[in-house]
Amino acid sequence: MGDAASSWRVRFFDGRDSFRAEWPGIADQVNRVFDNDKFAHGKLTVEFEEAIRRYTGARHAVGVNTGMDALYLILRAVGVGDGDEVVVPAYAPLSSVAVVRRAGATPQTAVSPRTKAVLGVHVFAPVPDVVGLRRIADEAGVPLVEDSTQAMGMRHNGVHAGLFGAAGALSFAPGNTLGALGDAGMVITDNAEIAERCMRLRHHGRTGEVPGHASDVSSSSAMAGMNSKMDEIQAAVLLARLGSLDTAIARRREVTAHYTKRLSGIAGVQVPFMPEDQVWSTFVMEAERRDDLVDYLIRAGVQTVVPALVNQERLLALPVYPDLKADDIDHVCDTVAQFYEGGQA
Amino acid sequence: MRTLPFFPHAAFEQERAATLEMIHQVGLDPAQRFTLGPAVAELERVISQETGAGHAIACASGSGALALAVAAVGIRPGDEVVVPAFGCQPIAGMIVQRGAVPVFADVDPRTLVLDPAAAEAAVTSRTVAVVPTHIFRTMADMPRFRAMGLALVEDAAVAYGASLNGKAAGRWGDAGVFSHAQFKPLGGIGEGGIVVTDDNEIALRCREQRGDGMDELTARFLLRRRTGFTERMRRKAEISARYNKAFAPLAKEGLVTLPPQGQFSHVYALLTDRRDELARHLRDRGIGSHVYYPTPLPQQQAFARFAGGARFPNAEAVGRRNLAIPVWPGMDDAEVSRVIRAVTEFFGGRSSGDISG
Repeated sequence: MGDAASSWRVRFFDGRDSFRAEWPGIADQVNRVFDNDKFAHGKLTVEFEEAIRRYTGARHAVGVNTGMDALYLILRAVGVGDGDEVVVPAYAPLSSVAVVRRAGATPQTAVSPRTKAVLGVHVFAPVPDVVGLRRIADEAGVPLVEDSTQAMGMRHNGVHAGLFGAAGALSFAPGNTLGALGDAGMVITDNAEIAERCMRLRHHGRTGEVPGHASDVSSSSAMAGMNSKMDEIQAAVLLARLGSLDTAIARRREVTAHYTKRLSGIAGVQVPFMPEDQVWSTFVMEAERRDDLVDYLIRAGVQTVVPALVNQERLLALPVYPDLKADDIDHVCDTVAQFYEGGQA
Repeated sequence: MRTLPFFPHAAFEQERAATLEMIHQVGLDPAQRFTLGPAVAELERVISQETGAGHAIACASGSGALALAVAAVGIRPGDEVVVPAFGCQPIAGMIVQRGAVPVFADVDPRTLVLDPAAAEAAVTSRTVAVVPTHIFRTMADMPRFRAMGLALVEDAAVAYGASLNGKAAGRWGDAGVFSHAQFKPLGGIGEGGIVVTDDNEIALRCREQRGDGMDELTARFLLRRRTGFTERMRRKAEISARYNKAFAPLAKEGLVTLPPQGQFSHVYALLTDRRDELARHLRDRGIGSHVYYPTPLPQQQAFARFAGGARFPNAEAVGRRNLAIPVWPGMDDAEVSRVIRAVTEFFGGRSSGDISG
């Protein structure tokens, strides 16, 4: 897949128009980082955590380096370790499975006596049956942990994704509903103990530290942790963008509604369900002769992504982002329609 | 008279406008690459070239780099790894995260780096690797560790730009690790780390495991900060040399300076039994200082279970006695003299000969 910027008519992600509009606000926040003179794990991280608490309703929010780090820290914080098992969906992203392994545990698709947690994954699919998942976890006496790394802004019956169980992981990767200009992630939870453990684990297990305040003595560690601090410049970008998140999600809904309308009648394509809750970090459809369709779209200048899933032979993610223009959406749909209906075998 | 903080204030102020422009460029980059893009590749090329390493692999932090290196040299869960008792938590934490067992060995009381004899004594049939750490302004005795015949991960987190016997820090191990966090020698506007190695297999494993790796913005900034790096390090070495010369006569008062080894001057630390008094004395005169690692790693709650109650007298003594004083490139000669005067005055000495610079 050629990556020359000029070769795509429709990129899989392109946030340049939004960035231009948001630049004055981003620049103001970045200037505050320079004023504070601390570039990781500082005051803007703390402010952004507070803003996410307000937005999601979570009691605690812990800013970290990536969404996958957030999930890893949650698993560690709820006690998942070597030799344990974590129940994962049969249709799980490879990234979620890798995090379970990184914690030393084995991913399984059913509860066993060694199960230490149940992992719910809100990816491209509709919000899973969280109530059912919660019941399974409760019956097994283990926590429900949510991979909500693609669900920033997603609410189900008024509860934000990540808060149905013990804790949830958010990702602010650039293409997400709320995206940084690099990596950033967050743990959200109502559980003070999990929050406290994640706060320690993200900075080498150190105790007694206050982000943004320099100490004149090196700290001690209560537990073996890691370095997963959030960069202040990413926190600055995210603080500047949070205010337009709902508008961005509304725009993503318009884009996917447009796709659904145009593509749902095409034999060979199965569009995703359209639950009201969905925030559309990605638009993943099922496509017959998927790999041929990918090539056909490339020739038409459309960049797509094959989701990294355990089971993905028919899946394809189309471009979906707020800046996507109506004629580009039409171009994608026309190309897909031509592929299936225009005798392109 | 301004206060002299331990960590330099506003060290990136002159980069503010350029950084804003960089962020603007990254946001409007037609390729919309935010991690592991062309700037990261260019930084890796430059770091390889400057160190002479066959490969440089950038990732999200120095600790992340250490974790990658530890796994890539073949350390497995259950293996024993010899690490210094005095140092920063990641040296032990990244071994624990791997599921391996940190085995602590004491440090040399004069150089504060891992003592090769103590490391050799800590080796058992289960030991697969040793991870020496360069501390302050001293490189560990890498030829001795090389000769141990174990896998060797070189923690050069604070030693970018250092060299020993003409060979760059980071190049002595099977893999070497640099940190590029804000206050490191080549510091950035966020977290970042790099693994260097000559081994193709180790490099490949690091690349496969590094995840999203380093932000483009971090890499762009580090590339820019290479300009002036040599001059900043030269100035720090110059200040350290003045301190050494000025403090030498205070040895009889119990003030110990550290022998430089490896030609770098990241942190300037003193050793004295009157450490806390000296810190107060300096603070009263507007001079910041920092106590590094007062509690040895094996005595911290996180790692005590790996130490079995063993004692590490040198690490404990260094933890009680070290005090690091300001040494940053933006200090002018008068400010260096002010620090010298304050320390000298504390020990009851005369500083008239020391302030000439």
